[in-house]
Amino acid sequence: MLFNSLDFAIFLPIVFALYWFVFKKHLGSQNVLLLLASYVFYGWWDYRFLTLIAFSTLVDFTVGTYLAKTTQRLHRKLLLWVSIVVNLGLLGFFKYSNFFIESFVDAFTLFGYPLQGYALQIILPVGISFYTFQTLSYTIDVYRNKIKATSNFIAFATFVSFFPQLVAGPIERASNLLPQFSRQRTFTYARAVDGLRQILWGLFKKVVIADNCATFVTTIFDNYEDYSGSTLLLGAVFFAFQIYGDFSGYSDIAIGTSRLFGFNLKQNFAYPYFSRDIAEFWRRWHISLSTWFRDYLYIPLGGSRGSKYNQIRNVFVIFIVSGFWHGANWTFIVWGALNAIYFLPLLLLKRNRVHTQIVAQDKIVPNFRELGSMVLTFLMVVVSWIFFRADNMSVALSYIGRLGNIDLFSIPVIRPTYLFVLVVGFLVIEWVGRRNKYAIEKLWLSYPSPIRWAMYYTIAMVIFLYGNKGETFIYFQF
Amino acid sequence: MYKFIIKVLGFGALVGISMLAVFSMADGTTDALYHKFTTPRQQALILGTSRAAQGIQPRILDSILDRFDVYNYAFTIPSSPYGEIYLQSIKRKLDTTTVDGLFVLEVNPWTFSEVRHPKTHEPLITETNNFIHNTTHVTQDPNLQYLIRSYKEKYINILKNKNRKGAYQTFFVEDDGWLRVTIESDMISTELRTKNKLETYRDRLEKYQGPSEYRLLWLENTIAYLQDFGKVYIVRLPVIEGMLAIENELYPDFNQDMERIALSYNIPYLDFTTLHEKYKYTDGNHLDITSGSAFTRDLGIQLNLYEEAP
Repeated sequence: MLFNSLDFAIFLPIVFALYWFVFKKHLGSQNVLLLLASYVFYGWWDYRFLTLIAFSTLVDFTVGTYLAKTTQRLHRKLLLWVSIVVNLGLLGFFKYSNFFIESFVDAFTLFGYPLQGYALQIILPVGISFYTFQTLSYTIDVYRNKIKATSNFIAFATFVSFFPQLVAGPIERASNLLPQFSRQRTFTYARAVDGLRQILWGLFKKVVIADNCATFVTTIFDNYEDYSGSTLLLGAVFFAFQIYGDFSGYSDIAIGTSRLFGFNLKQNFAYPYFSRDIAEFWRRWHISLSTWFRDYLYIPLGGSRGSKYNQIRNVFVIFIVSGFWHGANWTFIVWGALNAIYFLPLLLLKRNRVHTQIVAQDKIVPNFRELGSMVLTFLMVVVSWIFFRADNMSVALSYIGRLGNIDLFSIPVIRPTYLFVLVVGFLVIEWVGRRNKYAIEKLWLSYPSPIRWAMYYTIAMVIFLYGNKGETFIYFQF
Repeated sequence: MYKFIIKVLGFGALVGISMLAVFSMADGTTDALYHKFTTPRQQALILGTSRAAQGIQPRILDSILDRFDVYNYAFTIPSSPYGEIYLQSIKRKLDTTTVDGLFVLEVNPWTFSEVRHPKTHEPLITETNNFIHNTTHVTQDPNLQYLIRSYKEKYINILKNKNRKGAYQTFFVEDDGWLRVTIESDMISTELRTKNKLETYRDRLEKYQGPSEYRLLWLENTIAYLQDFGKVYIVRLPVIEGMLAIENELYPDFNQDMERIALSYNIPYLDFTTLHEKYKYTDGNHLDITSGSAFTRDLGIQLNLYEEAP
């Protein structure tokens, strides 16, 4: 079920009403309702996917239970590996089988031993990368004694499948989300309104910004050989806004929806395009995944400690694995590696934590230096997004090659004025609201309610009039 | 909680009313299909593909046949080939109290050609899940079902197209269902469109896999159903010679099959392809407005002969 669909517009109020009116007084039944709703939500795509999530839930709940019972190091290690193998095995089979088969065949062909390869007919279950990482974090944290294993199966199953963030995150940690299933939730007006406000902003980002950019991105990337360098640059910039609007929009809707049910999820995006260097960008982009890799991969590898060689190795490992997590394609791996190359000088010069506060924290506008840094960082990110968006390496390299043509300074042949206006308006609102968890969190709160309502009404009508209908989210494929 | 519910409902009502206001502005400028689903049930229908949608003008047929109720309910090749789904839609659009109806069924080889899945090679029903299938209410104005489920464009275009009506509007669905298409008619533009169209159809030739038993069967079912409400005619519209050559390659026995079906239901089959040089086309496939008018007049005269026959 898509957030931006009529199905969800009917589904959400029904679950909300049952949750707060029918099952209000009993925490257990509220959890059961959320679990059933989550399975309906997920099964809406393909009910067969439910077996996978149920299997993953069962395995990790069992592993957690046994981890709590045993203190023997070897047993605990073995149990942890069961969880890792099952979760990454499922992910590997469904997501990476064909990639490895094709790469294997290509490698043999390259060395003069052509093989007859064939692709497996595998459907990638929606959101598998997200929920396997979420459930995996539970068993790792139990293994590390950072959290206690839960004995409440319903709470755990709901934690794994919680519908607002099931298919595209934020990837929640058990330490944050799981205890919330064991606490009585109370309805508060302020939180519910805040949730709706965040949903509204998320929908705007998704159906207005991302989906409108997508139309032009598809045209330009599919016919990149026909366009000038300036149009290709515009296509890449539009893709930057598409992916940001798409993914952060999803996160906003997920967090807002959770708040309607009394849950608090972690912030997943913090205005990444206002970053002044690539290290800051990665602290602000897909925060839940970045911190996952930091805690479960980067730090165990040694992090930024140890020799220069180890530091460089660790940076490349984390970025390349992150790229590979996004998809079984060399383009994602190169995208990850490119970001590692961007990041490395900052790490080696120990300048990777220079910008920890939002830009122009106490000012209305940035100074020239800050503006220059932001533009440069944005352009670096835009170039890396070309690898992310391109169908294969050949397209990505050819696209970037064409960017270097002299016609880079010509006027783009595609000039959607309405979209420029929307994107600029969007950037202004994001800039003004950059100190908040989401841009319109507190933006008009000091105004009288008629003005506030007029602003929300305007956003709602722009969504209705300019929104593309039923477009899926990019991150569902990951 | 109740304060929250009341405010949400209030805001929802405000936005909902605004949406309805926008929807209520939808009309023949909205897209090439919408307006056909907003008119009442009809007694006389022109059915088929875009050739008929653009090429047969109901008001001219009305004037010649001395009727006032001919309605163009033709759409496109992928959406309204003869089949169960199109017949269901026709049933919803037909005034079933009719006893002296008129039904012109436009036919061409493309709508009777098998389309198969490229991998599984199973026959494909192309209209499954498209607007003709999803629009079960075909007489509502505004038609919320169509606008919500099937309208492909952004809703701002409902307002934009309305303002653009006239010089810049390339299509307009008249109240009688006729799709008026106004495009540049100079020789260079027409030749370019014709060249592109022929290329497109040559490509389609490779995709199609001979006559479809399913489509032929449902043409017969459609005829059988409509015969209870009036007279039925099968008509093949003219196209340029190049298109005709592709169609003959695609389905060489097309005319024989149509004649056989017409004979078995004791209805006329009128083939206008032999008169193709008499008319002008926007792209070799669709009649332009003037020729559409002339063709409809010729068609009306032919139909009149049959209507007046004892």
